Amino acid sequence: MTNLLPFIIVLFFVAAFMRLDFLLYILYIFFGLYLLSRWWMQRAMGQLHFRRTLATERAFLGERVPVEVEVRNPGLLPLPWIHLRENLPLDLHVPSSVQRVVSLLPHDRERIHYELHGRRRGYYSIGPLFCRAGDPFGVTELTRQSKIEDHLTVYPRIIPLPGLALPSLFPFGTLPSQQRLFEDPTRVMGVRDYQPGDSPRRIDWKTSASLGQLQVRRYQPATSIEAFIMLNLNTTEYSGRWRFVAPELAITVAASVANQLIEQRQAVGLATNGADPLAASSKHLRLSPRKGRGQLMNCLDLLARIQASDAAEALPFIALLRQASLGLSWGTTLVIITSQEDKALIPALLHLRRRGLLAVLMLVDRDANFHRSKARAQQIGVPAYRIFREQDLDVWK
Amino acid sequence: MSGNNPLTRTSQTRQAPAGAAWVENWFRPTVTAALLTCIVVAFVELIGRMVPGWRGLHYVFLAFLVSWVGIQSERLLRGRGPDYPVFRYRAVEAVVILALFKLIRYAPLGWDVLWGDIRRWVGEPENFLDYGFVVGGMSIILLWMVAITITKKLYLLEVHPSEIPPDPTSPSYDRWTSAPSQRVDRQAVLRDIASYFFWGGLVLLLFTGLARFDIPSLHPYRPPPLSGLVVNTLIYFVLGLALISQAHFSILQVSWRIGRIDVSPHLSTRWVWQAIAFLTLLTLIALALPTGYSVGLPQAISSLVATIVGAFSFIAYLLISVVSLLLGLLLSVLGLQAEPIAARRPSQQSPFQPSFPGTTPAGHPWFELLKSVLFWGIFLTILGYSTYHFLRERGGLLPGLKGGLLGRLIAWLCTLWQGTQSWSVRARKAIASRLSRRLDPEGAMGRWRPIRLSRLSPRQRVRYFYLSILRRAARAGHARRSHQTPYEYGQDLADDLPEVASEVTNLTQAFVEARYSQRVQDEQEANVIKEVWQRVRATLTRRRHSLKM
Repeated sequence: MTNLLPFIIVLFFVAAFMRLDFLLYILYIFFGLYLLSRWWMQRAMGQLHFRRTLATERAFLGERVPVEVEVRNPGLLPLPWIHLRENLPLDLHVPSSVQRVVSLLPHDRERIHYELHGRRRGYYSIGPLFCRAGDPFGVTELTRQSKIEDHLTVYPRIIPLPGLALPSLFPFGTLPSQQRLFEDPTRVMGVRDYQPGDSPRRIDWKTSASLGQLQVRRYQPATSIEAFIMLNLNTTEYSGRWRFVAPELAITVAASVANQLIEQRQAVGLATNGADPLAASSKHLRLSPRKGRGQLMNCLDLLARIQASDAAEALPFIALLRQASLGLSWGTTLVIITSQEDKALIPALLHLRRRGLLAVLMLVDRDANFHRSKARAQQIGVPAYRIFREQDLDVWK
Repeated sequence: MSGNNPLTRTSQTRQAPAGAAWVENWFRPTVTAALLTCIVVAFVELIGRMVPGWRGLHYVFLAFLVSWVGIQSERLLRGRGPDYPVFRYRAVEAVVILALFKLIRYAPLGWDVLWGDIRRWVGEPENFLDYGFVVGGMSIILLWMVAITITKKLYLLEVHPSEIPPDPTSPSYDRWTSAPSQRVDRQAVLRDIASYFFWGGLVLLLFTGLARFDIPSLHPYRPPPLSGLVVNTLIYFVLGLALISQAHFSILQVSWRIGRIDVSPHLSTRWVWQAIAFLTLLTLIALALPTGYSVGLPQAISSLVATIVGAFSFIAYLLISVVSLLLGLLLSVLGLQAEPIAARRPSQQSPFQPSFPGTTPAGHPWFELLKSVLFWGIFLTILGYSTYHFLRERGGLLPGLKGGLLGRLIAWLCTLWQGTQSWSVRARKAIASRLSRRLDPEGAMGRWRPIRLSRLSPRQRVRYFYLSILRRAARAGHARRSHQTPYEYGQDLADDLPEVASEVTNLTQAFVEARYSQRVQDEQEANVIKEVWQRVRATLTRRRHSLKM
């Protein structure tokens, strides 16, 4: 159309000065087509409304999340065609976009439904939604990008670990203990005959009345664990072969341990030297120990987002151990999930032990010399576990 | 290559509903045939003017029929295999068309003449081919061939099965990607169709233009009211645009199918109807616009300026009259006598009356002026718009003009245009705001305006008291922050105004009830709040004065 402009201008001059009405009508039609279609498309496109609805913003691995995208035309002008393209992460949808071509009448709306499949943990941006629309004559085509931004968090794999046993120094708690030293008065195991010296407060009066002789309650010994997970995601400290696999396994182990402890109503904290895309600074990430489902969600959110970091400014794990353990209360159990044991790790663990903290070492790098590491850890009273595959977690099932 | 691939067939089936059958089978052939018929109409009209008494309406019908048959036969041929004898098929069709043409020529003459000629041809077969039949027959065959060519071009726009990629997960996908591309340059095809359309349009315009002259005497005569030809010309271009619209749709459809994109099943039908509606609207607008002028451009401008000046003079005259009248009344009250002004006989002509130097308009002068101004306005707009885009698209030309006098003129015009736009935006916002206030009087409480408290309900009064305090507090330096709830703000304000802290709390509480609760508030309650409001207001006023000092 634009290439015809000089021709049309000349025609218009001729038509205007020679008063050729039929020529003027045609020129009006052509100019009208050009101007009206431009106005039409700009107006109609400017009024489009977009809305994206995710069934949930958090999903577990393997879960399918239905999504609805609605495009609404609230104006009076129809849109003859509109090509909608929703860009999606390949980890959630194959192919990496959902496309549809629709036509929108005035006050019309179109809904696109699709499903996201959480195949890999992560924090994903959904969209943006691009739309390209034009008039029926090919004069004007406009592209617009919706500003709505949605995110989906896919949690890491969680493996139930009902047999997980971590050492603890805390005297009272909700976990059964083999040590008879600390008994929990809220956990009654049964009764026995009264013996001289028993505290009168332990007498079970109802049972004594029914049996006709004094009975005292027997309490279950209990303890509590305040665990703090230290997760090494500095890939420069992993061996080259397992640089991409082992950190993912470490995240799975951390999520499973956190889940198990929260299930047992224990307090859990988390610190890692990975990179969080939402974090403002590159400092290490730390969640103080707390109990409850909310804390589990916080841990899983962080573990879903976190990325192994190989940047030069990534914190060395030993430095993370020192910094993140500051302020932890006496008796806290450190669950240390790292690649392999190096020269500085054992002295650091010894230092933590002397500060009154317990530690459990979990090594996830297959190139680690596990037997040597285990022997060295046991010398300072730290149990060590080898988790080179997810099946290795079966020891706690 | 993958035409027999079940995966490909599945994807085609999924994508197929994009096109409606009636569009393919009826709409496109009819539009193409009608487009070509329009040229024949103009041609027949021209011949009719050259040969008085000649009527060629039956040629118009024949032209439509031949075009339509050519298009449909091309469609049929596409369904046959590659071994089908196309030449024989076409030759037979051409012979039938020529025979039909020969027969139709006898339609205005009658069957007796035909029967007589048939007997004559038996004895003298050379008489079968007369001059009119040869020329007319060639024209009809040419038309038929053009229709077939356009149809072939339109088919080229459609997708070939080998262009559609198989499912990327299927084994045939690799074969498809490694096979030589059979893509068609559809934009070039579209350009071909557009060039046919424009060339046809040029021929049509030539015929229409020639039909406006008295060719036998070769001198221009007064153009007759050729509304039929004008309509025919309009129909041609409108149909051409409809055809281009369909060609554009075909190209888009192909790209969507190749990209395996889901297409709404309504798209094809809606496309047609929206194109028709758009073109109808466009035609109506074009018909409503003026195509002539009774005054030239300089006269139209001078008349317009004179009218505007006249209108301003009239307004000024009215204002002066009102002021004079008031002054006269004042002087008479003070006992002074003003000098009588000699009454001037008003001009017979209204100050708005347009004048046409040197011309005598046929219609009403106002209408003629309006028509001419509108015509020249459109003319200048199109000229300016085209020039602007012409310069803008040629990069260096526009900056070169910016320095000189012309550049300053353009800059001034741009500023004027932007000013007009911003003014129109402001005016639109103001009108919308006024309308919304009129429709939602309660929503207008936030803005200050003269208000009669006695006309408000107790609930509205309480809200007014609170909003009034908000306004006054903001002026006294205690503005509410946007995130603060009434209670939060009330607490802050009470801390800042300890002498009326309880009043502020009461007022806040009353406002929250008036705004959010369903409880009915009575007059007495509103009166109590009014006293509270007056105390807080007085405190805020004192604060404000102290701030100024």
